[in-house]
Amino acid sequence: MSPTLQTPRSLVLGLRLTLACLCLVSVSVLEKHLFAQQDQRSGSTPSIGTALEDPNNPIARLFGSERLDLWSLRPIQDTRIPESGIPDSTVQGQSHPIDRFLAEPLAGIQLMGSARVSKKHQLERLSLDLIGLRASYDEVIDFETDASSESFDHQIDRLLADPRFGEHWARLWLDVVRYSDSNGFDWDEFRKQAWNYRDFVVRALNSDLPYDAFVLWQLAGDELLAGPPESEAQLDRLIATGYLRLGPYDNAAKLFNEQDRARAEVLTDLTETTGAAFLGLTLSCCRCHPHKTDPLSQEDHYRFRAFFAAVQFADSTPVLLGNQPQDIQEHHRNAASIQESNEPIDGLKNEKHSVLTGFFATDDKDHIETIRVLDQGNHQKPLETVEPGFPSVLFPNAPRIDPPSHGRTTGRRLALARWIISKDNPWTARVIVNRVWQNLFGQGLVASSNDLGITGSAPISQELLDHLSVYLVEHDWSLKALIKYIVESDAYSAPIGPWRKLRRLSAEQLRDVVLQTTGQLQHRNGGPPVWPVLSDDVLRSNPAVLDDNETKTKGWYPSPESQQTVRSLYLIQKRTVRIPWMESFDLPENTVSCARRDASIVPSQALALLNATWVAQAAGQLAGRIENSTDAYRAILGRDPSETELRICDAYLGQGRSIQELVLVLINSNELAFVP
Amino acid sequence: MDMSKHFQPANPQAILANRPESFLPTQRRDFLRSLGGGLGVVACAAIESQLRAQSPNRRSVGDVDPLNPYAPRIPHFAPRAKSVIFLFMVGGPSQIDTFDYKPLLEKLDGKPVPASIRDALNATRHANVFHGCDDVILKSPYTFKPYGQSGIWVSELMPHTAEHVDDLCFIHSMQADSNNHAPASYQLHTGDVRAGKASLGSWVTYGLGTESQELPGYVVLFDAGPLGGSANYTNGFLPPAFQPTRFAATNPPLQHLVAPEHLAPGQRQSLDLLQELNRMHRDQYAGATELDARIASYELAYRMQASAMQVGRIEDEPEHIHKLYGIDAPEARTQSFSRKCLLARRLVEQGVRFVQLYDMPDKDGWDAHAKLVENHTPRAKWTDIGVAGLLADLKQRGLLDTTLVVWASEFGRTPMKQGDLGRQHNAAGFTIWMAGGGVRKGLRIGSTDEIGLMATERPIQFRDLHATILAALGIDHERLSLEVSGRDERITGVAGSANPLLDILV
Repeated sequence: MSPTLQTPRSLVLGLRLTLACLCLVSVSVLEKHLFAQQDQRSGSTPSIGTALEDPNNPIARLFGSERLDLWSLRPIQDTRIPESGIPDSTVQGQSHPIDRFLAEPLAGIQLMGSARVSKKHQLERLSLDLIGLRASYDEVIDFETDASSESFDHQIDRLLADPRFGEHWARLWLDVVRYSDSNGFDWDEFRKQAWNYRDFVVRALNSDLPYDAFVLWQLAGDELLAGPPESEAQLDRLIATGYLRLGPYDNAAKLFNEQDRARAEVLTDLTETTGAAFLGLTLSCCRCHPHKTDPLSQEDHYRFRAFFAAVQFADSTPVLLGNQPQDIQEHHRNAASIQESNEPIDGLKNEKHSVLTGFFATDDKDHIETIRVLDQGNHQKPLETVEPGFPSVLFPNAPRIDPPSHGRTTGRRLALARWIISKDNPWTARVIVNRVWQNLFGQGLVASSNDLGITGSAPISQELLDHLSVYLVEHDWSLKALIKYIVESDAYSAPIGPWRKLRRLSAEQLRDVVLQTTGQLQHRNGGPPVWPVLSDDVLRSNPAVLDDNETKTKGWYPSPESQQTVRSLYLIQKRTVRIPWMESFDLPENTVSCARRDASIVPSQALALLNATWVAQAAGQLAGRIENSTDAYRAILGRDPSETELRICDAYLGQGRSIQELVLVLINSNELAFVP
Repeated sequence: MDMSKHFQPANPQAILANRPESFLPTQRRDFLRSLGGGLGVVACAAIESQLRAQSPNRRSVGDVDPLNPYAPRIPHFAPRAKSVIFLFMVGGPSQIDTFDYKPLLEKLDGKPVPASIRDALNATRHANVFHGCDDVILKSPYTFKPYGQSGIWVSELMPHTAEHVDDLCFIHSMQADSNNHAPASYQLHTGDVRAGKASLGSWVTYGLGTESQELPGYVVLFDAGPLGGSANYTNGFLPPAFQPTRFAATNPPLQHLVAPEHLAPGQRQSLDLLQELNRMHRDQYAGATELDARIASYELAYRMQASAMQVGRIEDEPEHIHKLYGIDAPEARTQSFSRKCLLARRLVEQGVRFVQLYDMPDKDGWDAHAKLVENHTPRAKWTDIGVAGLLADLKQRGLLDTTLVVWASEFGRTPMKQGDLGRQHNAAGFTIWMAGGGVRKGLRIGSTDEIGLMATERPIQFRDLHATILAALGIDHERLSLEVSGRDERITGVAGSANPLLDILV
């Protein structure tokens, strides 16, 4: 709003409302006349370029053609890799395509002007980025003394094969899909089986499940199954549908006759999260009004929402007994609980069956909710009905939706998922490539990684983003192949400077690294979350814990002392009670998709790392096993101290301070807190 | 959620350069005069430049230096209040048994809701308020009488607060969008019934920074938190620097404030070593301002240990102050709430921007679904004297002029009976009050129908309340926004949907 020029507010509001109504009507009318050359029945779509140039494009009609002038609407281009070489002959590298692409946009910043960082920093960076933990003293020595030309490649392969790779990268994905172990709202009940989804993500990343399958299973894994799961892989398709019900859920709404609101919120959440997580589309704005800047109409939000119209939680899934291979029975015992049931169920009457309980979702085919545009996003003000549809700027016609032959689901989400992973989609590959880049560099090639729209950031190099997107798709959507390709570049190992910033470790990384370097971190092979011991005072931040019993699951259930030093990934993640130490280090809100962690620097963090009992205890544990300053440096910072450092540390110890205190100082050092 | 825009590299600034500037009453009066009592944009722009001229080193509202996020910032126009104390009575205290006197209830006791009132409610989005109650009016078990010059009627539940009615401004026509605790509570805190948005305290400190660099800017105080938990008072999508800090009215007042006992004596020495090592490390990274910021944050933390301990020393207050707040009362719960009220004053006095204080001593709060009297009578007793003591103390110190006190809950309760002499939630019409910080005194605005069920005259939404509180702080709510994933987020929602109650501000 300009401070000097203002239209009377009522007038603006009136105009907006009028515009909204006009838009809604016009889209509906237009759709019937659009793209006449398109075969409506088959739903085959014209190429993207055609849609953008079509004078009948609904978004152009609504907002004017300037809305179509958005880089991320254009098809992904397989751009030719630039010729090697900036004129400066002293420049190193230049052979990796990534460095060639970056040479131009970053020429002024002298990206390639200096050599790679030291081998120690190179390995530390790689280790923190790939497995989320620090390289040990011995690992650094091994790498430093490995003179072979493939020494770095070996490290990349070693770390990509490390099972802790999946644990670290799972955390990054769980942020995007707003993972939590509880419902949120008043009662915030514990979701006993949500960890199945978390473990699926770890498994998928470690086994390098192709990203297109990763997407497909989360959105429609249940639709792919003809019957009860018969193998671990099939069970994973079902577990992946946990994505559909990860959002907050107000279980108390029914007490106040507000089920409609709760249901509307579930659908809103699914629409917005799916748009942001997989497509980088900001579908939240156009819930209430036509998007102010992006090529999205209000109707687009509701067309997208209609793909989820039949989704229901399905935490109990019938499974026929005696019809399962050994491995799934094994898996059931570990991953989800299986109970015998005598309740008759459809299609299985009189047959002995069991019920698999987990954290699943599927369609209720008999109750496909009619989706309507909502005036101002208000579920109490429904307007006209809409059918499922992709963003109309590129795909204005009705998509083809075939219910699967097994007949148990609507086929809607399958159609959505197949479109998301199809070559027609200009967003999907770019979005995941950008997330991977962000996880490796601290900032994406597009800084706004949940928003590839007009208000989002422009890519540093669209050619590079597209090159990497093509690379990913051509390598069977292998994220590991993509990561390896990126970290092999000089750009990845470039020194800290204007283009490569220092990054503070995330809350999880910092906790894990403190436990790791003091020798406390214990391995956990997935499973139910670990509950830290918190004071009653902290637990009462949601008074629901005061009203718990065996069935309500509103309480806090501390795990045994012996489990407390697991990786942070495995700590319980409630929506209404946060673990204070973790929260100090910028744990994001887990009710909405988080594209990128913040890393604030505030005094409360210094207090948390200086004074928390568990940190002091960890320092004490290490101190009990070592003898001097050099040992402390090797354990915490993975190196020997310099002469000066040794002198001042020894002087400090000479003043009566203990090894434990020295370890605590090193834990608090900037050298530990930042990715080098 | 994406903070990348917000955290674009900023010019490095001296980390500790900002000193709180005093808030001179004479300047304030001048601003108010030039404001002319309105919110005209031209006037605002003029005042903003005036304010800027007086504090040339300060940034504007929401223009956060990521390396010094708490530095005070220049408001959009002259503030009436510089701090807020938000008293949140969790669970929904009944308006018709406290501040919204409805004599007709006496006559209708035991009778069904009059058809005209029922029909009127049924025609609105609040029809579900009837859900779960009996169609039987339950009169208030409490007696009312008028107080003060203004003659405002208050029930016997709040005798101490009642003595201050001439300083209070009542809003009798509040409405919430949900009749369930967590969504309504989220809405009162963040403007949205869904979790995930940023709370008012985070918005205010994001907008204005804070005056004390050695204390957190946004403090929450509670025994138990609000229903719906931490998602109420969260920073949401705002930078994490603006998350609240939980203080306790006991020692030590902050988590992680003091070192484990055997490490405390050497802490200064340890910090000296740490900083020396950090400075040597820093020399490898020319221009890495994050490293400077973290070095500075350790010095600040060290000083914060002393400041926070100091501000938490309620025992330092003289006996008559303890008495004024009711800290000497026999009930532990009165003591506990009163200590928090006194701590709130001490925090505000030291320049803390926003204190969110919850009354939630147990799992129910004011949620009197059954046995209204057994719920409300003790709760009123536990809180009334502390609230009144806070008002009196702020006033006698001259702090009430610059401190906005808000008393509110997520909703009120029905005049209809529920179960065993209880009352159901009521989001259709309920009462809150404000005092100090430029709010007009002895005023009542809006009203409910004859039985106190639904707001009929001038219904007011939480977004209007938020806009009003921001206006009192010198912030134009429409200009306090952050772009999150392509959407301009504001606590007051879509532009044009909220209206500050300018007529209740002086």
